[in-house]
Amino acid sequence: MKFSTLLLAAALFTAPATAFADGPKIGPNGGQRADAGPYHVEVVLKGNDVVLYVTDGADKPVDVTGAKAEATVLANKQTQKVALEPAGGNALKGQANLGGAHDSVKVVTALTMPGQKPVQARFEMGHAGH
Amino acid sequence: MTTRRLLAATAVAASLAAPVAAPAHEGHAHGGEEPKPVVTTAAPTLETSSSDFELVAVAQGRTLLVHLDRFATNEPVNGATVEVSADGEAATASPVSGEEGVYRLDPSWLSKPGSHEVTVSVTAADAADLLIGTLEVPASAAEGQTGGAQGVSAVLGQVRNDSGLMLGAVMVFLLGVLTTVALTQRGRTRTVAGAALVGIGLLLASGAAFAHGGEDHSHGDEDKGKAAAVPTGATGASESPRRLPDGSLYVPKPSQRLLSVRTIVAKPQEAAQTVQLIGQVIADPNGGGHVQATQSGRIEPGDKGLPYVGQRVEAGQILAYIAPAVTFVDRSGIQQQIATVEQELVIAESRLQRLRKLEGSVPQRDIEEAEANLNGLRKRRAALSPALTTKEALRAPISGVVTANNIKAGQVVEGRDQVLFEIVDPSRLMVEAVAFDPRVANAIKAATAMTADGTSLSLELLGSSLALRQQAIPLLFRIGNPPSGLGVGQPVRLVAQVQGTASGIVLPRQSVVRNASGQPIVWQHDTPQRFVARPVRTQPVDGNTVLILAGVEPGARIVTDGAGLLNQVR
Repeated sequence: MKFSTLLLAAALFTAPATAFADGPKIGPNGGQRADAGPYHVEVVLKGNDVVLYVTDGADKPVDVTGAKAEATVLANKQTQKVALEPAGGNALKGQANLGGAHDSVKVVTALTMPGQKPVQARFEMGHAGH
Repeated sequence: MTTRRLLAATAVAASLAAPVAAPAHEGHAHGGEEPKPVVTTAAPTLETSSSDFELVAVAQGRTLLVHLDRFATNEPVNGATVEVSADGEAATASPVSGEEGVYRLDPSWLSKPGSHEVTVSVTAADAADLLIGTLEVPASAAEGQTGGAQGVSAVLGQVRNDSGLMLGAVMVFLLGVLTTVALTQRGRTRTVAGAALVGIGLLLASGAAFAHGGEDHSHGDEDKGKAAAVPTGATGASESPRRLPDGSLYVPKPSQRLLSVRTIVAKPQEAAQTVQLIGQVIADPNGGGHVQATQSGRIEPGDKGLPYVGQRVEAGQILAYIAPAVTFVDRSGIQQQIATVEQELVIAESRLQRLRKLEGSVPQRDIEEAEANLNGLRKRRAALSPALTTKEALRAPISGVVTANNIKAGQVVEGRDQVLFEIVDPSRLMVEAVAFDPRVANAIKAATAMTADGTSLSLELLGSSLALRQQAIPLLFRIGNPPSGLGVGQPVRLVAQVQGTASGIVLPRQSVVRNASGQPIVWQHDTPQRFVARPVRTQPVDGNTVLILAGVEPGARIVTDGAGLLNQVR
């Protein structure tokens, strides 16, 4: 029991690193997908829109009503924070100033589901994300 | 036997108690029985990396120290803007003066226990990045107390203060002890178990007595004293590099900076096939000279004294004189000859003078004969007189450095067979190697050589001999730009490139070290503070680089500088 607890702790601790090590994965909405705590999150950049889709571990959409999210976007060497609001279904949406550049944009999302702790995910946008 | 059963009972109790303790104390190892190494760090640590940067943040009290390095090379990143945000609070870290790539800040969230989702925004001169990670702040560290009341003591304090948890813990202990009693039917064990139960009950009931932690030893027999010792003694010992149970290394960032650990990213490459040969440094026949005497004599120093070993001399410079050794018999013979010649000279002069006075009455032929006779005698005397006094000058045949001086002033030397001075031109040295395989000798295109002290020499093939010497083919190479300190006769190891290529990962030679069993290994930079040994199969490329044929995956970060020092971590 103790050993499994340790394993769980280790797994939780290394989760962001594992997500990075696996390389970009493409989600059902065409954006990059990463692990964020118990969820899978997918980020899509459209124009200046930042959309975050949340699914559970089995890739089933999760209702995000009441959830909060914040995206930290690094574009053109400028860091900006974008608040993402629930936009129906499993999507959260926000506006960023991307200047049209979607390549080499780095995004970190912090998702707070109702009654839970925030979970983070990291994305490196390249050509694969579009 | 009894002790073992008691230990078994406490072990069962401890394992049952673990789920109670775990939520308050996640991520810490409580014992040494885990097969997978879990690094116990004294201070809460966050490790994260991206394709550009590698970041280790260590909470020390209320200060967060951020170590920032390049991901690929492990070089510290100076002059970057590091913004750390967590719990909705963002702050810019200031560089720590005197340390490379270390930034500090004092965020207020660090004093709050629990896990913090941290986002770090890094802006360096050439790259910008966002990094994320989770920093677990244990309750005890957040309270900022001194040494004792950390770790298990804090957990015990929490258990004591919470009646529900306390009830659970007491029940768990009872269950464990009763299990042991049920398993062992011997009276003595039962007594001991009963005593342990009473002791534990007293311990849990003792209220504030061990909230301050000094009494950790009182329950050391509960198998928890060991765990409590890790955070307590950790500030010094745990932050030193150490070998983990699986053979990998835990090297904290400050130690990596100290050892100046650098890495490169493994890239598959094609490299020429090589063969290894043994050779030695020799002097170029046109760049080395001997000074010998042509006759026996006594050594006299030149104008600047006798040259010493290591002195630089120029071509034509007089190194010494030889005063010819003339035996007593020879000397008297020469003196007799001189006396005879001088006597004849006097007669010839007076005769010529007489004839000149009678010029016109004597035949001109007689006068000319007398003149010729006189000139001949003068030349004979001129040739004889210096035979006893003239010295032979010994001159340097080439410019170079005196490598041997076999004489002293006043020494009598024999002619010809004795080498008085040896001179070598250090800019024109060669390497002579032997190859046993004629095909290798014919296939060699270029070569490098390594001396025993690690100096690398680039070699240009001059040619190979057609005559075998002890069944081997001598090969001659010229050293391009010979370094100073190279000695004639010095043995060197040659790595010669032959036709054909091999593919693998090219690494500098110092990357490859040997493990305890003598197997060649490289150290892979696995996570920011962890290094893993990778056994490899290697083939030399040239004197400085080796080709890893197997054992390293492309893209792995392999330690170049500091591999030898890492290898010594125990």
